[in-house]
Amino acid sequence: MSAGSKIGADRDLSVLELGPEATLAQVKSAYLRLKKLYSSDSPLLSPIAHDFPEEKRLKILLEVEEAYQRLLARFHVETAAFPSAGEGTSSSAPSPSESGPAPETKSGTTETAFTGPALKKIRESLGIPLQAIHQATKVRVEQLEAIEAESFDRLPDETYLRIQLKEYAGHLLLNPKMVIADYLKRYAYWKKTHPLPGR
Amino acid sequence: MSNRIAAPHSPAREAEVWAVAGGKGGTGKSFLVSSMGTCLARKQHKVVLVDFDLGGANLHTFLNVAQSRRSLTRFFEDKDARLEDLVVPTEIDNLGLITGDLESVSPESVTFSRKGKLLRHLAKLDSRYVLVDLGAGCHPNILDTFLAADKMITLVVPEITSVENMYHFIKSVLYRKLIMTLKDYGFKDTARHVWQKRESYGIRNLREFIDYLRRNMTYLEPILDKELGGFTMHLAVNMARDSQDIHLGSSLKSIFDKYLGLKASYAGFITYDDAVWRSVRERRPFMLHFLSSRSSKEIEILVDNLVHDREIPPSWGQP
Repeated sequence: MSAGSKIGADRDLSVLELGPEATLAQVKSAYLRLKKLYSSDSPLLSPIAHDFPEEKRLKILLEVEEAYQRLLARFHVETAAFPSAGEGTSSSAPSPSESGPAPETKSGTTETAFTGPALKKIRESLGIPLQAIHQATKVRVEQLEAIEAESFDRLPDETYLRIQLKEYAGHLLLNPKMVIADYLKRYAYWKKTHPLPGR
Repeated sequence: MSNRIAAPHSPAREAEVWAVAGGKGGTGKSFLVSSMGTCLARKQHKVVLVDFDLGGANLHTFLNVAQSRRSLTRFFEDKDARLEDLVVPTEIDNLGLITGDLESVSPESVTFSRKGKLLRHLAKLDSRYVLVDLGAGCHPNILDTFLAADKMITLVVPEITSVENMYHFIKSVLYRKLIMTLKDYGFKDTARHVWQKRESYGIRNLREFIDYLRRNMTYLEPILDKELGGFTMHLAVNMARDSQDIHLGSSLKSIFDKYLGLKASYAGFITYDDAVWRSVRERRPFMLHFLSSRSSKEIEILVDNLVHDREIPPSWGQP
């Protein structure tokens, strides 16, 4: 079997809440259990149904169904190729692999977390137009644009920038201190690497 | 008898804190905590139980200990009180208890800083395990203590009301965890705002809320992955009467995973047993005097699974 299909099978097994060593009998039993649990008249879903739309339940059912069908097809191919390794070997104990190693997260360097583009994205996700921030803070729109674009050459001195960032961050309900500290770190670095001509 | 003396506990090693909660009252939290504690103590581990059910403390009754003057309330009212001085012995070797107080402190007097101190000091108690009995409900005091534990255990009984309350409790825990994490990164108020106005952002539930933050505040992604990825809720079912009740744990585990993206582990169940009721009435600690009962064996399995991070398979009880 190819490495790719192995990963696919593992994913299907995890949809059925099984480890990679699951037998055909375990696959079938898990499928029946989940079909019943996520059926429309499942009593355990009523407390949660309030929060989630019906499509979510149907999507879960569909995923379970598709995973099961793919696994079934796979088991049939394997039993055809290796007749001896059939359903009989159901000796696999509940495998500890279910709690296997968690996927390593990318080492999150949050040092430069509040970048201009990140701030812009946050602002947009909150549905706040620049014009509204301008009206509330009196900071010019072009200035706000420069902050978000990190056009450092269009930004004022640190003292004023600090005030503008504070207003801006406050308007997005972000912690101003953290935004300022983050942003100014980048600003300072730019300044160091771009000394003003004639200074 | 030498084998009843606990292995010396090296003070450098912090105690492992287990917290038991679940939203609804009357599910048997105090019974479970006293029984698990007895079970661990009988395995020669030093254990301290803490009754954090400030409104309705009765852990002492399960262990036949008189209500102590040195209760947890003292810790909140007297700035100089030390947690280790509040531990009273029980009739069981290796098992100590910090009682709660029936004339309890009001939740408001449990200040943030005092609470933080309590949480830090729990792990510093001279014992291998510290088991905390949290009360019913979703008060921030309960949520924070729960979140600070090394093992978060939720107890549910096979009744729809209990499932309902547990679901609400788990949502509260998750939300609290999220907000406290985001606070560390300067995002608390923004996230709160989005949640309060969630309808206008098309957010219908906690899962979509987390997805929304992940999508739009991209650098939060590794933080959320790290903080929520390593988060495991341990489930226990009490008063199970048939195999369908036993499967409740596996079903909830599945629902939490598929709906909330929350990892849960089904640690075990306890079948309904009249002996439990008798032990409380006769004030005889269950795990000492009813050792041959089926329930006490199930509690041993449950404790063993929790100690070794194992769980019972979904196929349990099926042919």
